[in-house]
Amino acid sequence: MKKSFFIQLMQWIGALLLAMAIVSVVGFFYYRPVGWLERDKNATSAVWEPNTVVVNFLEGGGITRVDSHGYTNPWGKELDDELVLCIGASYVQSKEVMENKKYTSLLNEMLTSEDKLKVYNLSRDAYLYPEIVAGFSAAIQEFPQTKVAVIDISNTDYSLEELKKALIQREYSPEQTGDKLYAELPAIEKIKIKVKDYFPITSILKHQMSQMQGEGVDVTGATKRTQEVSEAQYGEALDATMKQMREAFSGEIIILYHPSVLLNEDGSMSLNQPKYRDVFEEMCQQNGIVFADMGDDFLQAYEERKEVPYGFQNVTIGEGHLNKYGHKMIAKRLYDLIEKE
Amino acid sequence: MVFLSIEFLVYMIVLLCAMCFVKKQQHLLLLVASYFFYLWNDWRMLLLLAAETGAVYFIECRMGKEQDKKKKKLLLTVGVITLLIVLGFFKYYNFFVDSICAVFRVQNSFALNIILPLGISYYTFQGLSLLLDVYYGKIEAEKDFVKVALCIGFFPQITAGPIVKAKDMLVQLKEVKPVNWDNIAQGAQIFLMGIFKKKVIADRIGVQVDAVFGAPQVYSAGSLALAAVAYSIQIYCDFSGYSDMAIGVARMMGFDLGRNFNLPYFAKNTSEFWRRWHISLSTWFRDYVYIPLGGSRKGKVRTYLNLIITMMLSGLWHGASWQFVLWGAIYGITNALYKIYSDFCKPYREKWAKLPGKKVRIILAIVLNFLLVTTIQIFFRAESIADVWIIMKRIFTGAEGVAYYYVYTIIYGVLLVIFETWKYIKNDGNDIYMNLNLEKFSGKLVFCIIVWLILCFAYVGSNAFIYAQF
Repeated sequence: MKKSFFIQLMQWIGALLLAMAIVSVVGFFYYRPVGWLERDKNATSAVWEPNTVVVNFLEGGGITRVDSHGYTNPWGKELDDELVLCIGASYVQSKEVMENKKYTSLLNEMLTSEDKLKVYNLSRDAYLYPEIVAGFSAAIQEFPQTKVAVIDISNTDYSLEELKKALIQREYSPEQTGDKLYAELPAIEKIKIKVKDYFPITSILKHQMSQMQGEGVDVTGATKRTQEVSEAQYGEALDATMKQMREAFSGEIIILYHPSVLLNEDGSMSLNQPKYRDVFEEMCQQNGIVFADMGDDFLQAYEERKEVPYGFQNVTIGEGHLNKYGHKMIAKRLYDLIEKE
Repeated sequence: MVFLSIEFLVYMIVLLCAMCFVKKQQHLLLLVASYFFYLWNDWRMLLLLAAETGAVYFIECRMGKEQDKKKKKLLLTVGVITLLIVLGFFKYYNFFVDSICAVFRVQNSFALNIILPLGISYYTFQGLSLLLDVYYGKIEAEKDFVKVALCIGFFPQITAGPIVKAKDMLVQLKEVKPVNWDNIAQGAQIFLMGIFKKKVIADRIGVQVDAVFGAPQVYSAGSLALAAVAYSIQIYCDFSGYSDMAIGVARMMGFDLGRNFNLPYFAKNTSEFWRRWHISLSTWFRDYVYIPLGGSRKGKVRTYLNLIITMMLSGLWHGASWQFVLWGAIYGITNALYKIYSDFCKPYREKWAKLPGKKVRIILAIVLNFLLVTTIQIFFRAESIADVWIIMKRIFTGAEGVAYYYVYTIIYGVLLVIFETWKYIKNDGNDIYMNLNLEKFSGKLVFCIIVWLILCFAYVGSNAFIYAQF
């Protein structure tokens, strides 16, 4: 080497940092999740950094706005006096499709011609049925104008332990909404969040690491049951969770169930039905809850138009999150159900 | 131990440092390092490699001393048969037993659970090359066992080639290789581009290929056609990426393993394609199979037959199944057809060269040849011959199905076309290795950008090399 070791070393460090900054710019158009605020009260255990934009082209492609509550809703729209509250996990959050393609937006358009938000999206990654039950009462307290609560699930099988834990209700605190949480954050936490916001390369690398470790593969929320239980036992545990929700809310509750699908070698598509699906439906009927199974809609769309509800052109078809077809089918089904009532 | 691992990084650093200090016994050091690399994967198979090396050494030494041509030929025959029996047992035993049982319609109760030793197809061909080169007098018999062992089992190439011929490898073992910054910088760049091709392009595109070829009845004609193109990109980036890594590692230590790919999709016919694709294997078959069979010296019909036989054997080398033999036979037939066409056009070639639109004709030939190669590759990738039929039928009848136009195939396909065309034009139709000046800040910056791009966009779901299975 002609130059001194020190100069070479400094140049390498400089090049590494500058290159990182350059590649980070690409990250703004590829994957840019924003800060994540943990909390011990209210419906979900965490919310996004309020009034921000999430970019996600890892799976599908979506640019999603986060409102002042920390949930994925458009900005600046006044809430309607009567809300359809859609609660669920990443399927409801829908970071994989553009804002105007997700079913909460489509349903909103169908239900109101005013520039108001009638369908509210209350979701968080991996917010599964047991956690939804635990936070249900807090959700209703945060949005008391709710007329219809839609609970989005893609699996009906959970462990008895999870269902039992779901009965412990989370408290509601008006001090723990997204904007208030962010305002109270210590300076160091705010800096950490800003680094995440402005250096998306850190999030991309984190995502790569989690993929390497095999995380984030299953988005259905399928949990490992520690032991097989009888349908009666399972039904009893489920019944308790549904009664809990019924106590908290007298309006209409719709459990929207969209099973995962399987593209078979012979060219057909079938549904992956979990073991306790029928028990789930039966318990819903017993508690006056509408159980909307999207399975037949999915199969019909495949037979007629070869449309698959899950998957994207930048990953695989038939796996992962809901795509524009899936969202459209769900929006239509929910509209029919709500209109019927 | 695989190239893309922390263990390998540590191994290379230690080895390069050791090479700086060990000068006299450098070859022994490299042999120990090579065997350690192999041992890391499976010690039992190391014994096989060592035994095969011992056999090759013994025979080539005897051949070197032998003056009698007949005895020399006998020694060669014994050597070749021994190596082929070993390869045949591990790689083809079950295939032959299956085929024989199928012909006689008897139940196969002779199948064995055989583990395919890592790199056996490659190091067996290295050994054969040494025996044949000594026999044909291309090189003198090597008396130094360490050099022979290194020629057969040099670690960068042992897993999946390139198959460097003995005459090219032994020359490089005549001297001690100095470890210097230029070699390391050049090798690291070749290695880096290899990782990029493999992890960023090939593995990502493999997502579409695996999905579509796994259930071809599901997808529409357009999706299947795109998946076929995707496979052409995947296999090229996977294998040339691996070759680049092997070549890069060897270059860091001062060795030149040659070029294994030379812009193959810019070939204008299948014959040229095989001169640009897996060059080390193609030239191996040319030198040790096609030419000894008579090449083009024994009349036209024999030439065509030799082309078909050579390609069928190449197909069989790739995998123990009739599907690969069929794949090879198709290439053999297309090469023979091209030879017929080429002979027919010979008198008119000069006249045609003067006609206008030469560039358009070249582009058309490249595109048509790419489509032909892509179609033939379906035989290579499909999970069965029945699937080949399904895929072809669905593509050519415009079958309806799920539309799956994988974004990465389109993006990387376009980027590859641009990048490879640039290289084709810049280097008179040949490939160029990246050669940044790492003394300068700009060189370092580009290098670091590629590193970050790999870290951010590498597909981390799978890392098996397609050609390692052969």
